[in-house]
Amino acid sequence: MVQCVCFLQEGQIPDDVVGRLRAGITDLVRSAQLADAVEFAVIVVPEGQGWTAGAPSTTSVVSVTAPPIPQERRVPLLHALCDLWMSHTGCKAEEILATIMPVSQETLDATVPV
Amino acid sequence: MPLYLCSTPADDLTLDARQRIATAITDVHCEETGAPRKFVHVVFFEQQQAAVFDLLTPEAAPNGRCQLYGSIRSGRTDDVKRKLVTGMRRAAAEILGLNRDDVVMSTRDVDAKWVMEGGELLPEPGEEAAWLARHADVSV
Repeated sequence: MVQCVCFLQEGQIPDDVVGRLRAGITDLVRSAQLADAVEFAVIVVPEGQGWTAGAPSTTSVVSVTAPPIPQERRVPLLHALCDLWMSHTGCKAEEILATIMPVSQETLDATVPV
Repeated sequence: MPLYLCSTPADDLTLDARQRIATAITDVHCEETGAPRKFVHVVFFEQQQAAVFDLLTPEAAPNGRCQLYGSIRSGRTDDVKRKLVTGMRRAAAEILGLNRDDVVMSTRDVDAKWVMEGGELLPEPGEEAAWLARHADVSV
């Protein structure tokens, strides 16, 4: 199992686009042979609660936790995540913060979804 | 990156207070690290959204009136991290009218090679100059 936590700024990404992003991320994870399924937590940050540079934020955060992978697999996946986000939302590269962080399979299996 | 999370009691913060805290966190981070402001993110959660906070901060349980949690690029010295924590706790306490002990804070190092922002991996410590030059003119 791979987990993906997304922070979206309220009002920026329509629900149908969020659905396409989830499907696209799942496809990427499968293509990268990281897992067959992704456990998502999509968190909409209410207006006035997300800030970048001290001003209202337009940045999305996509944080993937997965079993450890070599960097030569991580980098293309990060690029693909950012490209997916930009193509579906129209955001700039500076408006997507993507991470793929390693965590043990035991930790992933033990995590209770919210 | 960095990404700072701020957890407060429900309905405790006005928009003005959130903006002042976000600005103060940004100021402290940039003063202590030299990072560009446009990559400093601050997200607020009310403590009724604790499950959200716990999702990204598994080792830090809310135990104060205001909790700050920073995911920062690895490679910062202990002295810099101490200044970040001290400065941000002081600022948040002043804005909220709290004792500094009522503001708790922890940080987590995140490897640069795990993070992409601005379409590139974050620079490793000591390799910031070229990366910053490439991103100098970008406005968000």
